[in-house]
Amino acid sequence: MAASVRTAFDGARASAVPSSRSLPQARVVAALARIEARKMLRHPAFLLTVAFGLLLLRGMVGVRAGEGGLMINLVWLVAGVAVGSLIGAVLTANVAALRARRDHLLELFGSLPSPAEARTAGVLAGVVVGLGGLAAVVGGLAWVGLERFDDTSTAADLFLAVQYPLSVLALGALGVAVARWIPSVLGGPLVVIAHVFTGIIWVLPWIATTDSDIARAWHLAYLLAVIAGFAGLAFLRDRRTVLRVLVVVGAFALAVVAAVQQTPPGGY
Amino acid sequence: MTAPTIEIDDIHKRFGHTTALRGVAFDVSAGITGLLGPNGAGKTTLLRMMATVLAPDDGRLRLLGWDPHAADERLAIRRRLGYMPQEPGFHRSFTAFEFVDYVAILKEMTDRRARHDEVRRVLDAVGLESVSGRKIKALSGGMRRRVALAQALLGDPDLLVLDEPTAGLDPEQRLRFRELVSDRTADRTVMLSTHQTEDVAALCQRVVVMLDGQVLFEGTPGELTDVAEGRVWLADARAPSARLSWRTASGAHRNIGEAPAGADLVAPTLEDGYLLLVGDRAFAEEAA
Repeated sequence: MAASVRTAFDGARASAVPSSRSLPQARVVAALARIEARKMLRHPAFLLTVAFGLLLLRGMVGVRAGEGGLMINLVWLVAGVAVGSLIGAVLTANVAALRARRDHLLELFGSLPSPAEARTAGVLAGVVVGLGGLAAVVGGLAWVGLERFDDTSTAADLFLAVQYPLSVLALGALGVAVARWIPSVLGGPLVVIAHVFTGIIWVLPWIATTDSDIARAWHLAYLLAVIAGFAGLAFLRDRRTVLRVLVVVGAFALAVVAAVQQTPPGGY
Repeated sequence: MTAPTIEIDDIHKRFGHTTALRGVAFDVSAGITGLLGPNGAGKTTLLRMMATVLAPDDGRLRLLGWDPHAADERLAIRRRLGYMPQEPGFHRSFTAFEFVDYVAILKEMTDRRARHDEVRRVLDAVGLESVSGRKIKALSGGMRRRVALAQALLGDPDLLVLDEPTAGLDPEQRLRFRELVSDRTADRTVMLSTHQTEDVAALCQRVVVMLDGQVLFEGTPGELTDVAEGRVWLADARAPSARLSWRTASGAHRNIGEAPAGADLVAPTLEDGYLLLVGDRAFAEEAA
């Protein structure tokens, strides 16, 4: 408790610091992204959630034998990685975005020429390069693998392969936004728990399995809007500008419209 | 005397009901300046202002010729500044190299090869080259302080602000620190706060003593030592007129205060001057 109070006090003090008003340099963000991506992929929270996902779906592996059985089993393994990495994206991105505050580095970082936005952008870019990159590779390999066999080609779905990395990015951006507005290590886990154990999971569709092309397009628009909305929300904490407010409001408005549009008549 | 690189004019700062700085004013030129004072004197508050992480409530501050209150000028200062906070934080899961590299990126060193060379240079300068691949959580307290010093040295900044850089360092590391800081070229400005008067005597061209948010003394270490001239003597026991007295290894008492006639006066140190200066003020306030 005392530590969290001290952290909050440090944060309050550092927030009074006059920050660099320049926008972060792209090369600074790219260099930070490399480090953040590496740290996120190796972070125990990410590795544990992936292991948890595999454990969750291990019962499905080996259920089907014979021709194509191996591929189906691999698909379940991929699904395990996917479930784990979706949860892991929230937690790992949240921890990465909290790191400077948690480690009492706001004072030192406040004396450096790169503004706070550089670190926020670095973590978000790290989510794209690291977690999003891994999801794209895993989703792509699963799709290519399924496509190769007659027995499994009907299960191959490019739409799933595309929306999986986008969902990882959206959840990673959610983790960063939560860290910027709720400066506590409990923020990320609470978001995951609230998401899974309440009705929110049905309100915010992450993975959609619709056959309708229009619903698919709305879902992709929804994911992109959510990514932009959460990323904008994270940057809004660093500095409030009219443009950023408009981006956040516009992105979430689009997300609401897209969520409604893709919902089948009568609901899920 | 060269043009001042730090200009402080009538600076005030309050935190709630506490006044941290009240009308602080002095100039600092290139070279090493030591900031002495008891806990709560306002040293760290002043250094935070010099590091551009805290704004004064009132007064005028210019660093390297720029006004830190103006956004563009503040950025220009930060590009030429190295800062080691009193309680430096660390990314504990990073290695020493990774952490200093991370700070180097935030210092806008974007060329990867040149940046890594610079990170190796500063880690080598603080004697951490052999443990640069070790995680910070596995390093000792003294090593961590050297990591903090290494990041401050990145890019050979024009203005180096160090808040108690030798706290927690062993004697050998302190000597190495002196060597490192004194090696810096004469056109750089180093501002360091410390409780170690030996460091000030050994390193600094100028010294500023603070007490209760005000400047009590500004001058050379020799001038501060002169404050105790004729006021330090050895005796067999504690003298009644001594403000401070302690038994030395030889068995004699070293007395500091108003020496009696015929006292066995000895050469004062900078620490004697500092103790008398701070003690005189406290004595005057008590009397008032």
